[in-house]
Amino acid sequence: MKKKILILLLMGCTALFLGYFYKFNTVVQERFQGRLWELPAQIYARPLEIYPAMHLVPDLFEKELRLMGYRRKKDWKGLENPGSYVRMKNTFDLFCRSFNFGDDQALARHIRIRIKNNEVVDVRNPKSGSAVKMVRLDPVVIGRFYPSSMEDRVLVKLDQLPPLLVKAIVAVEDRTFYTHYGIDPKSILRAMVVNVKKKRLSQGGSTLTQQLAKNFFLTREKSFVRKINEVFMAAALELHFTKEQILEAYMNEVYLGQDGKRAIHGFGLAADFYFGKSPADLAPQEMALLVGMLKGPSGYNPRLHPDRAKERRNLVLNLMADQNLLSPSELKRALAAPLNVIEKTRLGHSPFPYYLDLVKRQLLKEYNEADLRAMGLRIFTTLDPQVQLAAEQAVAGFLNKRNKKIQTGLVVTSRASNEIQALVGGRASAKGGFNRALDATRPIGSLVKPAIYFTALDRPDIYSMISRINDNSIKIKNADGTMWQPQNFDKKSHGTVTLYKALANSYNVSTVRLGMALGVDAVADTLERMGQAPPKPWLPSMLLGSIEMSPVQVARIYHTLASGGFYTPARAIRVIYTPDGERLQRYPLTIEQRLNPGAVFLLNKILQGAVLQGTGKSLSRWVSSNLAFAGKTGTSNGYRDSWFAGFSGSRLAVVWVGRDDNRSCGLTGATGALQIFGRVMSKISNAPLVLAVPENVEWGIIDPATGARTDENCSGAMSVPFIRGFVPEKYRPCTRGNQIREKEKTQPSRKLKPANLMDWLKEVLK
Amino acid sequence: MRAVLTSTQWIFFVIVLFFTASCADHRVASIPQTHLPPEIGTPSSKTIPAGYHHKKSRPGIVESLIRTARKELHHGQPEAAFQTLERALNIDGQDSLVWHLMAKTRSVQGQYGQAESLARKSNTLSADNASLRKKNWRLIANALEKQGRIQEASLAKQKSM
Repeated sequence: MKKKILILLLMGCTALFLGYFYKFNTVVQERFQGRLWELPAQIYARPLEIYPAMHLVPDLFEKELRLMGYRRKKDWKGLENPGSYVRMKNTFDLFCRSFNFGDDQALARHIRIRIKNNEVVDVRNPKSGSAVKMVRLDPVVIGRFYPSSMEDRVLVKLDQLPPLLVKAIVAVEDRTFYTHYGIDPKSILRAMVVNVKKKRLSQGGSTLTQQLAKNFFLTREKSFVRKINEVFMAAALELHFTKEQILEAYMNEVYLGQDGKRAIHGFGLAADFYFGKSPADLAPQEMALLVGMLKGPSGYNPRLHPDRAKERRNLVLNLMADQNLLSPSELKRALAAPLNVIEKTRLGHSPFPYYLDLVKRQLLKEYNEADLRAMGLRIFTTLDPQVQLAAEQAVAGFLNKRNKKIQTGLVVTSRASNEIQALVGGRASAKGGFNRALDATRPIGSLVKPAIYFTALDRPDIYSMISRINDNSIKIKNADGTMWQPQNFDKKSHGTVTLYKALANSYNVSTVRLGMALGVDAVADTLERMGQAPPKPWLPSMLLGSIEMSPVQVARIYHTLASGGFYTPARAIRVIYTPDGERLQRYPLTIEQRLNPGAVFLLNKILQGAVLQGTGKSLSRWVSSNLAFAGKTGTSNGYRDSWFAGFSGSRLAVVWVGRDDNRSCGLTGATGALQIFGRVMSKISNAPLVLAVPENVEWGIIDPATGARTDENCSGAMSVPFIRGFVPEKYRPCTRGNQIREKEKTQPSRKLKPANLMDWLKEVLK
Repeated sequence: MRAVLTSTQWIFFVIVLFFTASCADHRVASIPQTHLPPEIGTPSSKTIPAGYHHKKSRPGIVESLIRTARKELHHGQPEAAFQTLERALNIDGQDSLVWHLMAKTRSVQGQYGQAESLARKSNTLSADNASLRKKNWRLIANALEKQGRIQEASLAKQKSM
């Protein structure tokens, strides 16, 4: 009977045991099938590509290196580790980090870059002496999106970790790791003895597998039940996974420190957080420090308790030597080495919160936030840190001594691809907050005018650059019966003016007359084709820019002009990779022809004139007129909004200046936004704006006095571009006074006719 | 003998000077030279040169990226080629050949709408390159045909001849 009861009891226990084990077994299997960790997304700036003949300002380059977390060393002997550099005047010696670009894996390497007069003159490998065509540097990290747990880690595969580190962990934490089945009865027994002696649960005697089980599935409290659960979990883990898999999971899981709210997990991130290195580059004493910290990451924090940390490190080093992991000489060297922990710099909050905001908004359109914070995505953006820094400096430089309430919004894009290179959402660039570049929609004032003039130039049978329009005052009846009488900025009327003069000088009255003749609907249609449809109702006041847009929206429409009539969606993200290196999504360049390139060409010529001779003249204070910028100022009623939009051969920027409370900021487009625009452009490289002449444009030699064709030898004659087939038919030869004397005619002199754009514009605008 | 040498040097010097001066002009002169010497032609509206002669040489790095892109295209990696061309565009956004190759890449991938737009873009930048313009028109004609726009396609085809 007793025997039966015993057998039943035994069977019951076994069933219970099996049931218990089955429960944990399922949990472990499920967990390992899914995503093991929530990984933060990493957001990168565009990687800097350096090649001979490129424009590179040494100081800006060094600033970017700092943002990349590169440390400056005194001389090349100090270049022991990747992520360091030496600067001798304008020669930089870099020890570049290895980096996975997604389409290419760059290895750690030495590079020497010589710069002369802000131009790269030589790029080479200083060790082999061979020249390098192009070097792509690991990009600045501009931010991370953390999971709600705030756990941060950089996943590493076991084969990416140095064997010595792996061996050291096993030696210190779990010597019998490779032979036990998840639990080590001997060490548990030993721990129990200690616990009984101390009368509390202090020692765990845990194997690495148990520690992993505990971290993954269980709470941190120390109780007997939890300990039992831990044993079951560990056994389940060992049943399903190899020792290598368990070890890899352990090394990625462990907690190794705290950075504010952010928890540092795993050796991949810890190596970077404490030493600015990848694990493969760690020296033995650095490995020992990290392994030693497993016992208590806050107690042995090398930044807060260097002495304690060093003592612990040396203990680990000795242990490693006991296990023959280090030779006596290696041990001696390692013991003598300083801690070498870097200052916390790189991994704080984002250096560019406004730009990060832009990126996040774009991502949230396609991903849900929880995934974004957990999938470990690697997101490559188009941010150019040097342009961003120049923009922030320009904003600070202009707003520094002004009313604190004056705010700004600014965006810089590349002319060819419309990639957003910089974005400033307000004066507090480092703090972020209300992002005016994206969210401040304000009346655009005269920035609307190019849409009107394009609409006209696109009707070549009626209008050309030299068509004459009336600038005498006009009254327009509003829908509610009231009258509207637009006025010029100088309150004067300019009589009959040419189209180019009216736009270059931004006359209001003639523009309204032109717009009314074309039809408000036609202008609205042009705006829509440029990329931003104005909201209805379309009223005549739209012709003077009563419609509201944000700087980014304005940049959209101006980019269509800058690109010669091709609408190009702006992009802040180039490509997204999963942590496994798989490409999740690419955002390639796409374009769509929206406007007649010929008419855009004529318009852009006038916008160049506006900068050279018209309302944008003061730009010459900042940039050479050889760059031939095209641009337009804008000022809204009562000096509430100051705008400037412009482009060179390589970049486009839009700047808004005003107040959040919509009061007057006392600035015109030229005295406000243009000044910031100029400051930015003066700090960064720009290609001259050479407007390519489209196929459907031809030139005519015109007498500006009559608007008719004339001889090229006539004084005052100028060449004017027209849509092909629309050069005026009317021809007038030189009048007597105009005729150049025979003698001069045989030796054509440049003075007589416009030699370049500058002369030409002086001519046409006088 | 010595005098002859000196005059040769002089001629050389003048040629160099002339060459440098013409280079300098090309930097800003986006308006065609209207004061053509009489021997070039009668300056009626029709003979004014229509093209800005974008004679600057291509940077070595763009040349090398173009080579890479062609290779990738040849090896059946059009997306990689497009990416390479985007890098080239970041260095020189006004290179009509880069835009042309982008159009070609999209054409290979069957993205005819983009192929057409990119070829048209290349055309706006290649006033001085008739053979490239023809190639672009061929791409446009093909893209239009594939999109079923037969009439437009035949017009484009004419321009590619």
